[in-house]
Amino acid sequence: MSAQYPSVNDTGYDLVKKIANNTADIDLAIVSDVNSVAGTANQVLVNGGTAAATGNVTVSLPTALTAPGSLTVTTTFTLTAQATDNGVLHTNGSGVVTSTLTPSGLTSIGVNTVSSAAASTLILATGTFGTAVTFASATGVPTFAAGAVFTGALSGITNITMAGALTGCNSVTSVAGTALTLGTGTFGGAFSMASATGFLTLTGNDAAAFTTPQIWIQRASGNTAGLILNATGVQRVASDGTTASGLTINGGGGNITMGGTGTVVNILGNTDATTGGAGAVTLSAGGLYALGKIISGSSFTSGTPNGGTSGAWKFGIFKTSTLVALDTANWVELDIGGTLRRLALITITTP
Amino acid sequence: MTGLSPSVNDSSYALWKKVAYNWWVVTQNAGLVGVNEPSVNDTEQDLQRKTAYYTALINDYLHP
Repeated sequence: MSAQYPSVNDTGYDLVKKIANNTADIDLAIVSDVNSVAGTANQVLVNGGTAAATGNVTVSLPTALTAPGSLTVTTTFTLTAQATDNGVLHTNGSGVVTSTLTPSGLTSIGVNTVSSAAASTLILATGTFGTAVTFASATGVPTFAAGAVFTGALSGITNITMAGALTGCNSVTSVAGTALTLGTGTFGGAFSMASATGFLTLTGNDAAAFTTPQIWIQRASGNTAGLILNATGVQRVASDGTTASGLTINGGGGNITMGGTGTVVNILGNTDATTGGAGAVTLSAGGLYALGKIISGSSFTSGTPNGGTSGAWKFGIFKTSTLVALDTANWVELDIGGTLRRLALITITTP
Repeated sequence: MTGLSPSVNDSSYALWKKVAYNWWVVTQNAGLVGVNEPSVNDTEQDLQRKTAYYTALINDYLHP
């Protein structure tokens, strides 16, 4: 029913009738739109109440409460649990819960924690943040429980202590000019960097000399190797094979040990080892010291004998014959202790 | 601003005067400005007309 305004021709009866209609409609607006205001003594007083409400007020609304203007509370604004919609603070469509609350910010009005109930999920946004999201604490650190999902990049984090797995992360980088340290202490378990389809690449700095290693694999104590290749099949430590740069294994002040019980160590040079130059397997001037036998699949060539000429040697075995005769024309040169010696030869007479 | 209560000796005119005044008070408490207050020169029908006008304003205020 709409408001009925008086006209100049209205009789007294007409006016009283309009008054009755308007007041009835006003009554509907005041009373019928709110079915009940439940309370006890010292709460909201309706229908004849004359004293001011000074205590807590409980209002049972049959439908939504529409505030034509701002809704202001002077103390804590509490959303209590309901049967079907537990304490949810809704915004309408593109509505935003901002940090411009009076006086300013959530913290300043005493809300120190935004959390969900136990066994419930706290979702800050199911869509996309319009700008950067900052998790900051002056005294503590933000904690993300296992299962936290970030679909974009995280930046500005200077330290991460992992309580759970970090999965689905495509890149972990530091700020330019700042070192990226995976752990300043000790990993509690195995530290694995794996790729099912690509390569694991460790890129060091541009220090040229191996005395300033580009990539350190360190062990604080003990004699276990720092780098252990543990996989099935051929495992390799190699240079990229595409440039003239070699692969240097430097034992420093200690030894380099290759192999173990039942292990064959293969050192592969090229097919031309006669000059000791490019492609040869070359031992330094320190020489070769073998605790066991040396077996050659080919000949043995030493340095040039003093005053003689070197040649390839192949050693045979001890032989016996009754047809031996001295070769009076030929001999073999042999340098013993720096002095050239000549070994006599024999011939085998053909019967 | 509060209204006027009726008394047992009020005439019909006095009652309409109080009714009109009370509804005018309601318009003022609702923040409606420019609403003419009941006058001492108003006849009973004038008061009824003003009361109808006040209640219509309040009705529109409550049903925007």
